[in-house]
Amino acid sequence: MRKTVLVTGADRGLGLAFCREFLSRGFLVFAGRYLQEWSELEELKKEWPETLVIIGLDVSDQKSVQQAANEFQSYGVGLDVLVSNAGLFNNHEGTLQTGINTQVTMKSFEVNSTGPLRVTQAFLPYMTSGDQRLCFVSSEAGSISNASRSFFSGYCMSKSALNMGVRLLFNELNPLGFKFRLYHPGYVQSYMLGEFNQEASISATESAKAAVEQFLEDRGEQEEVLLLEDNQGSVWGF
Amino acid sequence: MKKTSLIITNKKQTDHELVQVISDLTKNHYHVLLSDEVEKASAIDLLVIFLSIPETNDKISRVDLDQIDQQYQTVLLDRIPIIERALSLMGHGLDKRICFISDEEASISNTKRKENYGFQMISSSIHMFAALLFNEYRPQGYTFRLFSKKQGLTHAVPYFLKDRSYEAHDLKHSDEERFVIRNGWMQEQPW
Repeated sequence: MRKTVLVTGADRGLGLAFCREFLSRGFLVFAGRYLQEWSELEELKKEWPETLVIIGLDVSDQKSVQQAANEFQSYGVGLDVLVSNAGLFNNHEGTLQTGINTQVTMKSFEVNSTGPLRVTQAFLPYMTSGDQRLCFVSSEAGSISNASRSFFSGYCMSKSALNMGVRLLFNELNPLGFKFRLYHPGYVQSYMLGEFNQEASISATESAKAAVEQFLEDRGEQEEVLLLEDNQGSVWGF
Repeated sequence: MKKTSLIITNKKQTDHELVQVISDLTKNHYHVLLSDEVEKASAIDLLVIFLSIPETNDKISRVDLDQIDQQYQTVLLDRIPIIERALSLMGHGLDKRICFISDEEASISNTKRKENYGFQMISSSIHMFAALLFNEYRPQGYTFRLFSKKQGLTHAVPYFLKDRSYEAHDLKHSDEERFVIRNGWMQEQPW
């Protein structure tokens, strides 16, 4: 029987690369789609018609998340791996000296911080057995101990909040057998800055491949530790 | 002439005792204003930011995430304009010291909690906010304090008012160029 994975923010960039990587490993992939006008997921569906399922999913919208969970339930399978990848970055956030754009900052929180918890909350009932792997795409930008920026404030703050949210989940669910990954994907060639960024240091395919290796590896007793790791396997402080 | 300190707090939910403690301990040297009195100040020397966050005991299956979004707006984002106003007035102040009161329970590394998502996540976000502020304003001569209230507030204001030594041998107080959180026993806590 195929293992199952849900990938949020699967339309393009890292999320799409996650889907490709899991498909190539034989998973039944549920791809959370946010951008209706973006066609790459449909093109991927032509390559993998039997094992790729596209479902609408806006992680910042409770109703959308619940609808996605209901749709997942209709397939009658459990969920082995949840990859919370959907993220928002807006480089017009401002600073305290230039003026913080609070609307942008709020949206970053809804998508990057509470969004992954919304999805986890809705899909946990389908993870009572199976691999029980909860994987979150975070960022070094959320590392308070390494914070070196004075800009991208909303994004950095949202990722710190996400790291804390994952810590609370970990404290509750790790003793029950759930395995956690908190991943910093690196400076990825993607659409996070709006236009496709070719200047970045790692392709989405490379980052996704490194991530999935980490997500699926068995770590034995080391599963009892929550780490923020990058695509090289290096650990970042919180 | 007394200097001016400004306390930014969401007063309706905040322990009024805190405001009293800060007012009492700074009254000999500081004229204490609350955030809704910011327009009365022409310069601010000491800024204290203490944002009270509602606490709940809901674990993931029951937590209301839309409510946490609303709290993020009301607790932090709605106060950004006041903080921006205060910072503009600090340019005219002498001390240029920015202080936060938080809780070491909001240490991502250390907390054992399994609930209280809103408090924990918003606190972590505020810690990052303070770190970004440090990065932006420390090069201009501003100094920073972040105090954990877990052991109470008695030592908060003395910590805020103490000028920390730059001498290398005084390790406890040699970290003015770093951004740290210390508790009532002056122990540095992990983020």
